[in-house]
Amino acid sequence: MAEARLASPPPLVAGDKSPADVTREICAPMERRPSGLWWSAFLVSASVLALGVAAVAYEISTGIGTWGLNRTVGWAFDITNFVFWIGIGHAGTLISAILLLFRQKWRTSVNRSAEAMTIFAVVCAGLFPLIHMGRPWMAYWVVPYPNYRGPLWINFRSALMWDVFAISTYLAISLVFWYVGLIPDLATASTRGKPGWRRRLLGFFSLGWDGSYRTWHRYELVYLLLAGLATPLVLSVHTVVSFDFATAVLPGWHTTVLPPYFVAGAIFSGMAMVLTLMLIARKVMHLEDYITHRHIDPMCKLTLLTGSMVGLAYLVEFFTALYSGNEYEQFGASNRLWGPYGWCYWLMIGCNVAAPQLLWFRWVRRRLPLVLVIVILVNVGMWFERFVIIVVSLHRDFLPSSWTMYVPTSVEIAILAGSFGLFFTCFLLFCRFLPMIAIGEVKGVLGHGQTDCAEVTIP
Amino acid sequence: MTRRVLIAVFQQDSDLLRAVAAVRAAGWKIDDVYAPYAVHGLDRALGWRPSRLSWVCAACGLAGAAFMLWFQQWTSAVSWPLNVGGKPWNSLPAFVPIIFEGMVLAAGLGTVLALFLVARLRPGKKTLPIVPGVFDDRFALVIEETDATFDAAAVSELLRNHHAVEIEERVWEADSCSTGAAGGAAGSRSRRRLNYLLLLVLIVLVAANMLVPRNQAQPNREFLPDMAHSPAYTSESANPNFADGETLQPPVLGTLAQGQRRLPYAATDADALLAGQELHNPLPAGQAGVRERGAVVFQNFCTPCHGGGGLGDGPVALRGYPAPPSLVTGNSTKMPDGQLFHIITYGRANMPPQAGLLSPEDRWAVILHIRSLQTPNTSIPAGTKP
Ligand code: HEC
Repeated sequence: MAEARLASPPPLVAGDKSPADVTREICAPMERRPSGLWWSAFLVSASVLALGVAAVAYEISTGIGTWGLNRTVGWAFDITNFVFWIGIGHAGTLISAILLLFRQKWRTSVNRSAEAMTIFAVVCAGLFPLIHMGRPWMAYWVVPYPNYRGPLWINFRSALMWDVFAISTYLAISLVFWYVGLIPDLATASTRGKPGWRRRLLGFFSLGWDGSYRTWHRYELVYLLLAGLATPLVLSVHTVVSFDFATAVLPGWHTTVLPPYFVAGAIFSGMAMVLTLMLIARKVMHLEDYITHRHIDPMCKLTLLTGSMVGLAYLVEFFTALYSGNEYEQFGASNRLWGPYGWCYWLMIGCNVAAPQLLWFRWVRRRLPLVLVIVILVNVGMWFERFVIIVVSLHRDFLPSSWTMYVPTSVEIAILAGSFGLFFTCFLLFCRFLPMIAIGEVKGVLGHGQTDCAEVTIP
Repeated sequence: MTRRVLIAVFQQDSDLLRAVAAVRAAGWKIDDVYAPYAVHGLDRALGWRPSRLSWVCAACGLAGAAFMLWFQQWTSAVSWPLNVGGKPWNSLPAFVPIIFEGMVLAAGLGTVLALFLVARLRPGKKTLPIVPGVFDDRFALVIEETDATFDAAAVSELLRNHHAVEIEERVWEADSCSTGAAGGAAGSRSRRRLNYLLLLVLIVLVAANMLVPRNQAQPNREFLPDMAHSPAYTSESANPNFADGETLQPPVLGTLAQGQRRLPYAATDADALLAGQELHNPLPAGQAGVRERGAVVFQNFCTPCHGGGGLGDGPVALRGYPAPPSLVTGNSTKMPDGQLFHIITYGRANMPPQAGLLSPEDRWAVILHIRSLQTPNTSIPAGTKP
């Protein structure tokens, strides 16, 4: 028995907490005044967001000409950012849905914030095609509705249309998944703290949850069903995004490896972003007991796994180019390495393939500041991956007379910065106003890792 | 109808599980359990059947997929079959991604809505915790007192043996369960207040709409003009790019538009005679529609001066403009078509030139109409001396 206890892993939640401790500590950030650190982070991200809003307003009132796009490079920062953010949005559902199906109990401490992160990332992503339209108030034209133009319907055979449906479905299902998970915690939070508008609002959205096991019983099933639905959905979303490229004839886009390559990359970048946020949040929000090595370690391993898959995909791309015997494909590949944007490619390899290899070492995985540096590098690398795929493939196509370079304008850079501002502003507000760890789920795993005292025989 | 229930409060989920098993073994009826989290194994202990919501999920998913399949085929093949890159109307493989998304969306939203419906969850519903701490670290086991034979003392004894920390009897109205009427009265009062407020806003808006006079002269405000205003120079606006500062530039001398024929004449009577010798009416008089076109042109461009019958008694002439000669009996009866064409094109004395208003075809057509007013109503070909 004693050996068994020694061999069993340390508990998921440190500090030997009772359920009441869990409620109190997770609700604490919502009930006390925010710290100075929170305020400074909020002010910085809100100002960056304001900068982005100003840039978008200027771009919309003046026109897309304020961007650095040209006849050859018609997609650049906008679509790069779109794919980047959508990719980040994949980790939340991975952690919540796929790990739920695989019964990974460590997910309970991180799933709530990962889901929130997903939603904010998808919102950031969705904004880019919208402002790329130039006349965003016409955006409703992407929706098939009876109209007086025929009715002229949208073209369902277009990969861009599939994208619209995939992204909006993903946003809707992620929101529902997140909200359904929140309901019991909202009920818990609404019975605590000072009475006032905060408690009334929480109570309004807790839908009259009373903890009845008749509801819990159904709720657990619905949650599982949602996970089952979200799992293929999350794999489909980035597949569909990759179709935007793979169904075109451009060398560098036109390959069958793109869908799995994109999905692996998405989960990779998402894990990196979750780790970034969690490593910072556990310090800032004082949640060290809830987000422990038992959570960070598997996330590091997932990052390493998906990062290696991405590295393999880079190799496969080159193999395809080489083996195809097609001179355009081969030129495209060598242009990535040695062309004028070669530095982006090598930066991407360094950040995405080389840096995560350090995570093989337990010593590195235990040094959280080191992990933070690695995952931030991965975030940078994954942005450059999308830039390489989009701009570097476009800027030198079949027709050498139309070869050109692309340089972003200050407006584009401000919009990219603004999207980060939006993301972090939303995340900080979330940390402040909602329980950022799933209280109910953590209580359920408190006993995990110790003796399983809940086992009883049923007559 | 009122119900009597016994509520036992536990602090440990393991105690709760054992108590549930014992209560069921003793044959008492468990109404419900209240818990702060989904206790692992409790549904097995309670012996509840799995929820049927998975069927709802399957049905919604199938419906969503079937709808998207039908919708894409109907729009792309029936409602407006549009040729996209030569793909078949019914491009089934291309419809698969959206069919899948439709399935997931319908299944997800449908299941959650069904959960809200059967669990009676709705926004704003007020709930009081059945016992304090049930959202925190307490578990409440509710046992229904089915009939008079229910021995509350025996049940309490059993529960206490399983470490129940509190035991309490309650009387419930019909089906109110834990949903207290607490928020009821206050809620309806604030709702009524909101209604009054909205009514007031409506009255003010209607009154303002009737009292504030509308300025018809003011153009409507523009919101998102959608490129209605072109940054290009309009034909009348000043233009610094040309020497004369005008946007509208005269064509280079001698330029001919496509299909236009050269008219090598000056606006003189001599050239009019010359034109009479050289030009032929290209329009065949018998061709359908040509004379009718001529009549329309005459009606619109000539009657103000020449009068409807060509007698020179149009309203402009009657008001003092030098009256034109009759086209029915005057010289024009003897002029060849080419000469009339010259007069109409270049004008003569008080007759203004019509070249800027009428295409050459219309000018020839109106000549045919003039001929039909005259007797004999025939064209006079070139070479005939007046
Ligand atoms: C502004 C008034 C006005 C309008 C409009 C006008 N005319 Fe005339 N037209 C005259 C006057 C005045 C004369 C006489 C010119 C002169 O004294 O030499 C005339 C002369 C003529 C003559 C020569 C008649 C002759 O016996 O010498 C013809 C043919 C003619 N017009 C045809 C037309 C046709 C066809 C139209 C319509 C396309 C037309 N005009 C429109 C005022 C007009």
